[in-house]
Amino acid sequence: MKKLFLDLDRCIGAKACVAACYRTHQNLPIVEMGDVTDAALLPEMCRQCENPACLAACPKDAIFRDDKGIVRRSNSRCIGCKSCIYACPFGAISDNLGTYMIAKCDMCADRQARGLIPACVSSCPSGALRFEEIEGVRADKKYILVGGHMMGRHPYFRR
Amino acid sequence: MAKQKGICQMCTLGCGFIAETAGEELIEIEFDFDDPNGQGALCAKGNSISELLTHPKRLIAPVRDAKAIRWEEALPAIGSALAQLRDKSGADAIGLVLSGDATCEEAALAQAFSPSCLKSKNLDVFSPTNDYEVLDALAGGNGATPRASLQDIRNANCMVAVGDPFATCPVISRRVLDARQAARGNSINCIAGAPNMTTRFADAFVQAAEPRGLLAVIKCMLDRTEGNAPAWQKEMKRLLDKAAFEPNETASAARIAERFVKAKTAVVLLGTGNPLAAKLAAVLARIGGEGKGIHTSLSYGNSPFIFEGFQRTISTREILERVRAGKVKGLVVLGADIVAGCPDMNVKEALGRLELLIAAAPFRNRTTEMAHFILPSAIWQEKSGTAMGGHVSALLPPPGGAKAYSDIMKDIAGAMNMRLQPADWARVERSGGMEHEDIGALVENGLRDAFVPPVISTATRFSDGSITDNVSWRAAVEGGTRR
Repeated sequence: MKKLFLDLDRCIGAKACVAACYRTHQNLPIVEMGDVTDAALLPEMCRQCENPACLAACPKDAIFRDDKGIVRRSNSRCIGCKSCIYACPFGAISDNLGTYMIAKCDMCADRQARGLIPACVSSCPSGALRFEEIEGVRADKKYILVGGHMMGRHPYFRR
Repeated sequence: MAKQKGICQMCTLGCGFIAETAGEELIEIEFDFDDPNGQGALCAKGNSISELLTHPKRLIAPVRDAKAIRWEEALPAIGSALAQLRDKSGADAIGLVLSGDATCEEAALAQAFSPSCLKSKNLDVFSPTNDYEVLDALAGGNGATPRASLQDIRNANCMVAVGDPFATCPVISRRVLDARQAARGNSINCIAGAPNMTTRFADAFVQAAEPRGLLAVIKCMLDRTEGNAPAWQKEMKRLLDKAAFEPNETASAARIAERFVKAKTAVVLLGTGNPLAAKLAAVLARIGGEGKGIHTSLSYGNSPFIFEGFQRTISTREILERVRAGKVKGLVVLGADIVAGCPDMNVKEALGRLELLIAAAPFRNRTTEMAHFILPSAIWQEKSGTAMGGHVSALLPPPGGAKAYSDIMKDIAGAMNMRLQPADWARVERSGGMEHEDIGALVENGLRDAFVPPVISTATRFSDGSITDNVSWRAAVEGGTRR
């Protein structure tokens, strides 16, 4: 299964991923920027956890794992209780107070069905976001993984 | 359903995208991986194209006294008011300010419209980021300033970023970071007044006002040159020897100068609207010699191509000064938001003195607030013409009664019983070579030019002190009002 990876050595904090996500998801922002105490401005994305806390917290089984392994959310089952928002340890789920709908990253399932990569990855101006198999990233000796979602250049290759 | 290739004109890079349209409706904006400039990427500005094209608050009808009217009513009223003012006050009593998002043809048409219909030489193409001044500074030396292409950036061993090029043209960061990671020893060096998006990646960072930082680097460069340097370099060295720089400035500048000289190919990325910094960056590239060039990252996409042939005699600021002095009594503003664009001038007070203000814009803005007539105008994806160095075709027709600037000028001329023909498309002769420059003034002004903290124009500060960016702010507002 392909996952989203964030290259910490390339992210410039341009917020293009936020704008692309906002545009392609009917103005429900899913990718948001997290401010890491002035040190960095990085996008917060769904990690597609192996054992998702949001799935466990959902009282109506609105969050489920589909046959491709992507953690998704069913619009018809969601009651807007926001349990998943509080459960997510990464703050990757945001709510929309006006519509009582919770936006959850599905890695652009509609775009993938058309053979396209997720909008945030396409949009990234600096090439920091990647959509790859985790094995491929692990095999690349120039990079080291940071928590299975972010990656940085190996210190030897850095400078 | 039709697929069309479009070019983003939000900055000088010109990233391509694919627009899917059905009749007069925009279905989707898709990323174009075959485009040589953007290579499939679109920044936050580029992603807002669909929103600009389909925004519900677009102006679609002319407005007079807060009431929407038809073009058939508006045009005779505007025509007679302009003709009356022109005949009453004589020549040069009406100003015309065109926006930087016009096509080259529209700029040429404005040069015919202003002297023939308005009997006025007060004409300018306005860009809030001083694009004309920057390009004029780089054009000094009759084209001797070496320019770098996008391919040069990818092959460069050393980058010197002046200001914040990653903020003005984010897509350029892909090439810059590719070049840096391609080989050990390739470096990014920054000269800026404060830490910004580009300085996060800096290997050496001179934190000073951009002209001052550049002078510090130039001083270190000139210390390395041998005796057979040109006269203007010797003169500059003599003046700079007297200048006092901070120790940390000198240390970083020495590192930048060393890398710049050693690098086989080096690029100066200009990401600032400071004309003095542009001039000094050109000096730096020229001292560097073979393989060194400048790449400009400007905020208005089409302005370099407009200013190639635009005969500028007066700036917007000078027009506003004349408005304040009472010499200019009427103003036609096509697209440009001059109130927001000149925050350091009290433009509102000046505009309040006008007898007639006609403002055309795609959205209501702070200039249209003051206008007697508001005209709806098309944005750049809704008109065909020469832009970004080639022909750009319209993706969609303008919504409702919105018209391109060229059509607005043509219709106003028609209402005044005039016919328009574009002026000659002549190249502008710019200032002379480095030998004729006043080196003393250049150095003196560069050292005196203090750092002005950047204005965060994309952020909104609320009454409780919190700051938010436009994306989440818009989401919050729309979410809160929708039911």
